[in-house]
Formats: sequence, structure tokens, C-alpha cells
Amino acid sequence: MRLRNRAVPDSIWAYAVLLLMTAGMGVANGGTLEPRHLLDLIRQAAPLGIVAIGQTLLLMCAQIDLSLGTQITLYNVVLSTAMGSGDDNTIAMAVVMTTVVAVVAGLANGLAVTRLHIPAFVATLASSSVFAGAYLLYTRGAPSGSIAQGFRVIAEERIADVVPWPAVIWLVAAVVVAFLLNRARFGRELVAVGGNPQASYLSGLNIERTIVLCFVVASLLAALSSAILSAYIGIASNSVGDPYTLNSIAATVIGGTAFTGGEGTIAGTVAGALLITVLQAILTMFNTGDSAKLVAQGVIILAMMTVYQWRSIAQGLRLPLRSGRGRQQRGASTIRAHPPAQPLSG
Amino acid sequence: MIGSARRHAAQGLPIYAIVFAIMAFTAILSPDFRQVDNLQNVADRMAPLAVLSLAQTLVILVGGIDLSVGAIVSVATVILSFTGRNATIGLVPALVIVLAVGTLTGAANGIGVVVLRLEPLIMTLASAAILQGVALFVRPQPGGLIDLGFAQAIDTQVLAVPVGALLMFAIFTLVWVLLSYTRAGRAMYATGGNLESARQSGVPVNRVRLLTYTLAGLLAAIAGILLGARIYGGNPVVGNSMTLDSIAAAIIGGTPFPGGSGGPVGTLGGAALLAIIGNVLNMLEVSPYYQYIIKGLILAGALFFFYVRRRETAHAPA
Repeated sequence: MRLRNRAVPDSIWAYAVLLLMTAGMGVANGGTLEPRHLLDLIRQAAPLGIVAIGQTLLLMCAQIDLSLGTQITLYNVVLSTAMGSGDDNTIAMAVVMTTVVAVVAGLANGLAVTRLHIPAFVATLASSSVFAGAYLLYTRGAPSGSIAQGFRVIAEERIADVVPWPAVIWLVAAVVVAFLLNRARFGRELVAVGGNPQASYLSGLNIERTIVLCFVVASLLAALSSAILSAYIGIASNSVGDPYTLNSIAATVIGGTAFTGGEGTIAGTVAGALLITVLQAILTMFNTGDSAKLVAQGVIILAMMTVYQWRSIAQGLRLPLRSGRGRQQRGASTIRAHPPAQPLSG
Repeated sequence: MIGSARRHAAQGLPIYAIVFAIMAFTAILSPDFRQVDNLQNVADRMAPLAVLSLAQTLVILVGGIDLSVGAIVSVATVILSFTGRNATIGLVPALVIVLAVGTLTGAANGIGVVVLRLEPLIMTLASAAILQGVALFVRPQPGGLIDLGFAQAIDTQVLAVPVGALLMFAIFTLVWVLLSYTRAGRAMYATGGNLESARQSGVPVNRVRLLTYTLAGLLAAIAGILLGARIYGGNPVVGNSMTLDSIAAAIIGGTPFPGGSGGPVGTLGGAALLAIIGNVLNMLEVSPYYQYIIKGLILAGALFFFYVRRRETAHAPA
């Protein structure tokens, strides 16, 4: 287990590819990149970036949440129902209600994992079905209500007419969580629990509390992401959150967070979310449609994962290596897909 | 050997009690439900999901997960949808292409997991995205027709059972024999139970995992063919919701993570349960929106049953 990040973090690759793609976009755009256009991209990436921060925390403590997308839809329905009249003085109440629902959802997931000992993968799969049932039943499949105009300011206005609000919210969320992760006790414990739960338990850490906290924080970040999305679309929708479950995992692993816990950076995940968004923007520019976007996203995930796994792959293929064993494979407690291969001493 | 086969089958039996209880309950309350053609309809409807869940079961059994099975189903229906009226491709070539796409995708997943050492969830998520892209490229909107003769053949009844359902039973029997009575099947349980022990006991774990992912891809393609024949057209997103349903069916049927136990017997029951819920709620005139909550609660109940009970037995003195 590594308490300090390695000298060159994995996420440098994500930033390198991001830079290349952005440059490529500039070239395709006739050699210009307008700051306003770049800010627009960041604004578009914000909802994914924010929910992916939560997913990163969970992957780092060897958990996963497959209900985050459904949760985003749930919070959208709660927000728009609570603001049903569209009156600005309903905003405070709606925000409070959404926060409460998010805390309850996060607690439910966290307690299912820690108290009932159900693997996070399947526990959140089940809870995702229950959340979807809840909003479908409540709205009878036809959600109504709209987001108050005062709330939509988030999406429509810019600070000093330049910087979009979602970008700022994203930046603040990322900085706060990164601070917690690197400088606060919570983050140290989280990395320890993700890296080696047994050792953490034996060292007297409260594993259960750390895991439950991660789920709650992830749900709150999903609520924040949903708030921004709701401000955009302005209405209740039954499907607004659908893509976010898998995309948040994609952004996280593209950013270099290991699936097996204990390793990862928020900065990497920010790059991952931006990378996915820029990729889609480029393909939109070429008018390729959804099919090429999906193919490109699949390819980029595979490519980035192969880069991150390269040392370990080379070792498996017995290619000569100059140094290092690469990312060690640990026993993951998310799915425990494959128990760790004991690295040969080398 | 026979003993452990029985134990794995027994792990899936509680689900049948639940399925039969629900069916009996509904049959009493709803005259429509107990009609023969409704039951035939249910059997016909469950076949694609059941075969897909079987694919998922095998992968979970060897300690992995496959998120690409639903996308394989979508691609399969899309390819087959060019065999109907004004066919642009013959039925047989189309079937061969579908089976090849499934098998190759499975093999690619296996290579990603075994050789590139990617997490199964990430590897299959990526291949699902790529296949979904292919499906949307070939047919952006649902449409097309499937060879009418083929669709009718799958729907023909032999002794009151649709051919599709018969195929499902045949495939389940084959896989059950493979798992319970062959060396390969034992190797799969060993690999999923404890990869490192299996490796050190001489089980070729990499080959086992590679072939399991490949077989799962093939089974997913067959599920796609069955579904295509039933919906009688192509739909590029029809398989989306089926991926999670297949995982749910496997778990409800007693093949929990992280693998090494369970098998096809329970999965058939799990798929049957998911398939009848919709029909039952419809027959009882309950709002279809309860479906999701009920599915979730059944899944939660099954999880509680497997994990909490397992934990208690684990804590009991040996």
C-alpha cells in the first residue's frame, strides 16, 4: 500500500491524451481554439465530472455504485416535483428534500454493503432497481413539474459573463474532495481501507464508517450533478441519469484509478470526464452520430486501461522490462473477480 | 463429483418454490393466467433472457462478469433484421455472422481479461460500448424484418411447447452436463472458487476463463437469435436492459459473486421468475411500475438469503 502517490501518477497519461485530443480538435476546427468554446466543453463535462468524483472515492475504497445514474434521475424527479409550481421560493425546500433523499440513498447502499455484507456491485444493482421503481411509481411514468427559473440561473448565466457556474461548482467539488483525500484523516483511512481492508481493521480503523461515508458522499455528489442537469433541462425526466452510471466508471478508470482499491486521484478523474466529453465533441463536429461515439469510447477505455496495465501485461507475456513490476494486483472486494495473482519476486 | 453437482443444483432450488408459489397464487386469482396459451407465451418470452442469463452464469461462475451480453443480443437482432422481405442477406449467412460475432466478442473479452489482465467489468463495458455502436450504425432505428419462415419455425409448437422454449431446455441441459459431469466443468468451478489454488493444482485457469468468455459470447448470440425471432425485427437497443436482468437472474438463481458456486439449474428458475413477474402483475392488474420495485426487492431478498446466511455459517464453529 502506498500512502504517497508515485512520482509520476498514472493520470499523466489521461492528461496527455486529453491535450492531444484538444489540440486535434483545434486543428479540425481550422486551427483555432476559442477560450469560450473550451469553457463550454468544461461546462458540458461538469455533471459527469462531479458524479465521477463520487465513483472515484468508491473505487478507491474497493467499492462501486451502479445506482448513481438512477439516483441522478431520482434527484431530478424530486427537485422538479418539489419546485412543481416553478416559484423561486420553493428552491430552498427542494434542495433540502433532495439532500435528505441523497443521504438516505447513500446510507441504504452503504449499510447494505457493511451490515448485510452484500458485495457493492450487486447491492447497488438491487438498489438501482428500487430507486427506478420509486420514481416511476411516484410519477406514474409521466413525470411532471418544472425547475424554478431562479434555479436555472446555474445553467444559463456565467460569472462575469465568462465562466459558467457548473465549471466552478465542479472545480470546488474536486478541490474539496481532493483535499479530504490527501490532507484529511478521512482520505488516509479511505486509501488504507481500499488498499488493504484486513490490515486497516487490525490497525483499529473503522472500516464500516469509512465505507458508509463514501457511499453517502457519492450520493450527495450525484445530487449535485443532478441539480446542474436539472437546471439545464428545466423539467422532470425519467431517463436523464441513465448514461451516468457507466460513464462515471469509465471516467474514473480512464483517469487512472485502480479497480482494486487504494490507488487513484481526483485530478485523474477530472481528466477522464473531460476526455470523454472532448471525444464526443470531436465526433459531433464530424457529424458521426451516436454509433461512432460509442465505438470510440469503448476503444479509448481499452487503450487507456492497456497503458495503465502495461507493465503487468508485459510481465504476463514475459517481455523483458527494465524496472518495476507495475501496478500490483490486489484482492479486490468489489467483485473479487479474480483473486490476486501472487507477483513473482523479481 | 455427483455430490457436488447435486449441491450446486440444490443451491438453485429455493427459487423454484417461489416461482411455483407465485404461479399458483396468480392462477387462482386470474383465469386468464392459467390459460395454456398464456403459459406458452411466458415460456416463449423467457427463452432469450434465460439463455442470456446462462451465459452470464458461466462467466460469474469462473469469477468474472460480462456486461457485453446485452449488446451482443442487440447486434444479433439487427443483423437478422435484414433477412426478411427484400432480404439483403440470406438467413443462413446471417445466422453464421451472428454466431461468429458473439463468439469473437466473447473471445476478445477473454483475451482482455486473461492476457491484458483488465478488470472484467471494464473490459466487457468497453466491448459493450463498441458493439452498441456497431448496432446503432447498422440500424439507427428499430425496424427491418426477420425471415418469416425462421420466426415461425422458432414459434412452432411441438407437443404444446414452442420450439424456442425447447431449444432453451436443450441448451440448459447441455451446459448442466458440461458443468456437472465433465473435467472442463469441474475446472470452471475450481477456477471461480479460488483462482490461485486452482492454478497451483494444475487447472489451466487462463484457458478455462478464455473459453468460458467465448462460450458466453456464443450463448449470448443464440439468445439474440431467439429474441430476434420473437420480436420479428431488429432493435439496436433491445438488449440494453437484458444485461442487468441476466445478472439478476443468475444471482437470484443461486450463482452469487464471487463465483465458484451455483449453476444453470437455479438460473433457469431465476430467469423464469423475472419473466413471469411482468405477466403476473399484468394479469393481476397491478401498475407495471411496481415491476421495478418488486424486481429490486426480490433481488435484495435473494442477496440477503445468500450473503447473510453464508456469513452466519462462516461464523459458526467448523
